[in-house]
Amino acid sequence: MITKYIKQVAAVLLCAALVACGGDDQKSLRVGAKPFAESMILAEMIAQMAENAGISVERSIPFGLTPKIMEALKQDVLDVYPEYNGTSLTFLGQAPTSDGEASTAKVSALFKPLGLELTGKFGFSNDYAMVMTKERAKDLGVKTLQDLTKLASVSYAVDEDFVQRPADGLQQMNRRYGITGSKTATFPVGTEGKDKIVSALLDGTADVGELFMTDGQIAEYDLVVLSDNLTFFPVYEVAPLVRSDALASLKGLREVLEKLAGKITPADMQAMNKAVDLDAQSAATVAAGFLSAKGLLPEGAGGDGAAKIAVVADPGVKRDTDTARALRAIRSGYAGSDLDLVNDVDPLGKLASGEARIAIVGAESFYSLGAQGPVSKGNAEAFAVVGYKSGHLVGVDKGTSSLDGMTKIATGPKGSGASIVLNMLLNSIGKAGSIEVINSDNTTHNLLLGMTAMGAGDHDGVFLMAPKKDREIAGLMRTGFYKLIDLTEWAEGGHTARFSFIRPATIPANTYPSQGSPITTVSTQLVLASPAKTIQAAGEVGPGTAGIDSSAAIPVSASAVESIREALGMMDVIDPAIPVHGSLAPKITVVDKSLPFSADISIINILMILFTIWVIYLVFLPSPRNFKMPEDV
Amino acid sequence: MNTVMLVSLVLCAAIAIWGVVDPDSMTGSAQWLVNYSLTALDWYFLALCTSFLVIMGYMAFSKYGNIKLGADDEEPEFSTPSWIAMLFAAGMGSGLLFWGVAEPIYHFMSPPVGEGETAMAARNAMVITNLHWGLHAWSIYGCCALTVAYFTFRLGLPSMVSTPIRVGFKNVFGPKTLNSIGNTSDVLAVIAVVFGLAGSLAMGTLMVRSGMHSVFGTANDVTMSMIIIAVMTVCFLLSACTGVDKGIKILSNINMIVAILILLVVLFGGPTAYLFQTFIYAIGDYLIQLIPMSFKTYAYTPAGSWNWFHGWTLTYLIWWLAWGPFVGIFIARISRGRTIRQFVLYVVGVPTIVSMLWFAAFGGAAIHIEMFGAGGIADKVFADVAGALFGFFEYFPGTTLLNFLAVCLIFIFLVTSADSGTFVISMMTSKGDLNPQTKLKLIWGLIIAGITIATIVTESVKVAKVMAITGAIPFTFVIILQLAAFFRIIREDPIVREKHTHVRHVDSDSQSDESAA
Repeated sequence: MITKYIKQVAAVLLCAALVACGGDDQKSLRVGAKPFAESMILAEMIAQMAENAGISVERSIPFGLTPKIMEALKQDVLDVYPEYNGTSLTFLGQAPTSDGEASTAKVSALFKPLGLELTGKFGFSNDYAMVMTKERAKDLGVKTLQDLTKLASVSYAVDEDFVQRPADGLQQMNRRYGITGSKTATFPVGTEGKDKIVSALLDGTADVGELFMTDGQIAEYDLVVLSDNLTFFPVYEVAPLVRSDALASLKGLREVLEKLAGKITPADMQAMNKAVDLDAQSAATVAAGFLSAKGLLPEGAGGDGAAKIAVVADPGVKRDTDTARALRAIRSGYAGSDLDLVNDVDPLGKLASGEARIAIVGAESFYSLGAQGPVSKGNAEAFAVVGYKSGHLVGVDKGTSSLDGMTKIATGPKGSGASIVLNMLLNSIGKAGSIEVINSDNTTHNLLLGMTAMGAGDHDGVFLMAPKKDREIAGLMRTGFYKLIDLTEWAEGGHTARFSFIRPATIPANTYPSQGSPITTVSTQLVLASPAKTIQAAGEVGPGTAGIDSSAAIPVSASAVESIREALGMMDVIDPAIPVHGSLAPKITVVDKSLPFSADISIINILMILFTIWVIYLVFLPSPRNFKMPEDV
Repeated sequence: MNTVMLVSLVLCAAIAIWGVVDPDSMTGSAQWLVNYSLTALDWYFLALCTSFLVIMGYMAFSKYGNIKLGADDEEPEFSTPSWIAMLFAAGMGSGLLFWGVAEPIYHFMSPPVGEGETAMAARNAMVITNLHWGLHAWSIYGCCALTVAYFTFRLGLPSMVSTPIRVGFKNVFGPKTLNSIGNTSDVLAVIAVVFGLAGSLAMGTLMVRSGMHSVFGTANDVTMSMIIIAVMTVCFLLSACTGVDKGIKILSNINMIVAILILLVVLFGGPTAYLFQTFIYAIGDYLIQLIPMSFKTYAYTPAGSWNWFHGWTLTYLIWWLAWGPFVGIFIARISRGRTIRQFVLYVVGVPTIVSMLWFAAFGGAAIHIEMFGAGGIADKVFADVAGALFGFFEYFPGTTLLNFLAVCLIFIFLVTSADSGTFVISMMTSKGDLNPQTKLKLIWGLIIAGITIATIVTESVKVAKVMAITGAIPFTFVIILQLAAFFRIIREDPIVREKHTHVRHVDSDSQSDESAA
């Protein structure tokens, strides 16, 4: 028996050992990337192409910033990563130039003695881009960097790195172009910083922002890139920087890298960066999608198979900087899984049924309107604040200037925050009968245009929940045909006490063009929500609760909540009217002044103790005389 | 048809129908019973299970240790490796696969006291895990098994849960009282086994399904579950028809080989030296913490940690109690011819060491990934416990092979559990027949398969989980009475009392041979 065992075990062990050692005869390609979307996407492309060519790959994506990753390459810790020729020059102690070919030639010559090589460029250049919003550029009449000299003072939003760069930074740019008198707000390096730069431009606190040419936000927010007419900025063309010994020892690597040369246009890169930064897809997925679209990889090869985390939002939630930030934070809470953002009329329902893991919803979604006022649905819990939405009741400039005079109000689709809040408002102030609510799938733009075109025929007003300084509303307000209407009826009655989650708010004067006075309105918090905990077999934790029930909604774990909140950074406290995720609720110990006593528990304890004593007593009674089974009775 | 069979059948049917027709009210009541018992008597359950451990120690290291479970000159029925293989297959089975990665990670990430993700949390995670799967668990099984084994093989009496009570108390209670206590004990045991088994099979089926989903990409739906159950039912009925010495033994041996193989790949395909460090460190920590943890009721920590104590430690202890009648009778059945000392060392000692090595390998590697490596295991565990093992294998060489082996292993574990479970129920409902009729085994096999299917079709996994542990609460009383009776009888054993020279076991031995024939 034993020998048979040993034989069987040995046989299978041998198989296992073969499997274990299989990958080790050939060296694998160690791919690195810098910690931002573009570098990671390009590194993924190299990795996936190499894998497709039969080269085994070890990924260090992301690895670190330029000083660290370049050193790692020199010290034979990595084999390849995507590098910019301008950056290389700076790090090799040379002045970067604006001539791409010359720059690459110089870099190649300098890298050669180090055993490093630049292979074919990807085809785009990621130069610095000074950008403005379309409206602001038009207002100030700026098209080129040189035009900035015409302004008395320029306010910049740039990242910390740009201020400190010795040769191609902000000071040198100002000197080159002769721009005087500037204010500068600086933001941290990285995606979050770039987000804040764009936010500063969008809300008007800065005129000119510093981004990279391939930043997805340029297309997303329709930003204008000021032309560098004196060619001040050096070029930053990207190419794989690879160890020569890896090129020599790994068969087919050079072919793989050359296949990628010249394949990516600046627009491609913008779109891919947008997919990662704004739509929270993983670099691997985006890279695989691009490669198979270009026919470089077979369909479905590479980064497939990763489970997507479904995120659901009400139909009123648009993609903007807030959701992009939230999505990125969620992705970091789920170890870089891909996210899939969908809009749904009942986001919390989708959450409860387990079809989505996380919802981005306003406070109003946690309640439904009952006969006696708002009723908490109790199927979800909030765990992070991502922003606020304020009510915007827009009317025609020449039309009625209060809610009283209206009979038809258009708003977003059913289930959207605006629709829920409007219904609650009208019900509460007793106008549900006299004012008709029209739910529309149309965008803000079309709704408002419809109002003017029909000459107030279609509806008298449009109600929207939007962040303060919403760009679309601002754009329409600029036309001068519209005005914002006070919701004084709401503020005056006792409604705010009943609908505690709809907070009174004020839109300050001059938030929007041609808005002279402050507007009284309401606002709700926009939060991330997890399915509420359901009571499980035994207690709230432990083996009895283990979720094998794949169809059930799984609450976001405390650790995921923590890392999502960490990624979001400083945030407001969650509105007390919203149910809060268990891990965030303050731990309260109730101090009972009397000693807790419950008769039933005492009695059960007494019975159990008596039973035990009785059994022990039984043990000491004399044993039976024979051990035969008693007869059946 | 005897009383026990009849009453058990009726009660099983009634509870099963209740569970299918109105799962919410049924889980509600069962949940209430479990939660209430835990709130009121958590200290009692912990003390009880700890005293089982003390009893096991006393049995092994006192004069009782020399008593043989069988005639004094009897040889063991099964070889030692087969015996251990069957112990594992019946006692823990797929649980080790299910929780090997997940449990240490849970305690490492959110420990009951102190801060998570620290070196201290890692040490405590291993101690807690070993507390749940180590000496206590196997002492519970050991106590259930030893009483039955002693009465069956030493005294040649029927292998029933009620036998010790019926014999041990016959000069204490009147025959009518004794008969009703005996029958109640048997019925409670049958019900605990039937639902415990159906619950475990339902959960196991889902795990196989989840495994097949990640290995072969098959669908994760009810149809797939039905196919798995159907295949499993055919397998275990076939195995059940052959008897313990063939079907269960062969399957258990295959299981042990595959499990050892997976363990070896994890041990030697991962950070080997580190895993052995974990193992050695865990042994020391467990030995030092054994006494404090055996009595730790978390009385001085905030009420939140009671939740933890009830949800983890006590739930585990009650799980083992719920499986007690089943595993107890089964272990008794395969332990014929061992001395009590051997019995305790092999039933309590060896499985504890092996499961500590298992958790050191799986948990140690997972904690290594979280503490020093790329991380990501914890997210997989929290997202889907059933799939955690398959996510874990991605870090090892030969992932596909490992996944495949794990799915096979879980499947065979299920088959063995179902097989030994039907065997035990058939024994209990045939007045302790050591080799019950095939017809009876088929009937119970089909009933269990039916309840499992109903659980899965109505998607009431919650019901299954609750059912799997609720039976343990009333059964606790049975175990206590069994042990009391056992003490009353064993002190009269000739080996302990040399002055009693008449050898009872000679005639009883021939009796058991007759029933075996």
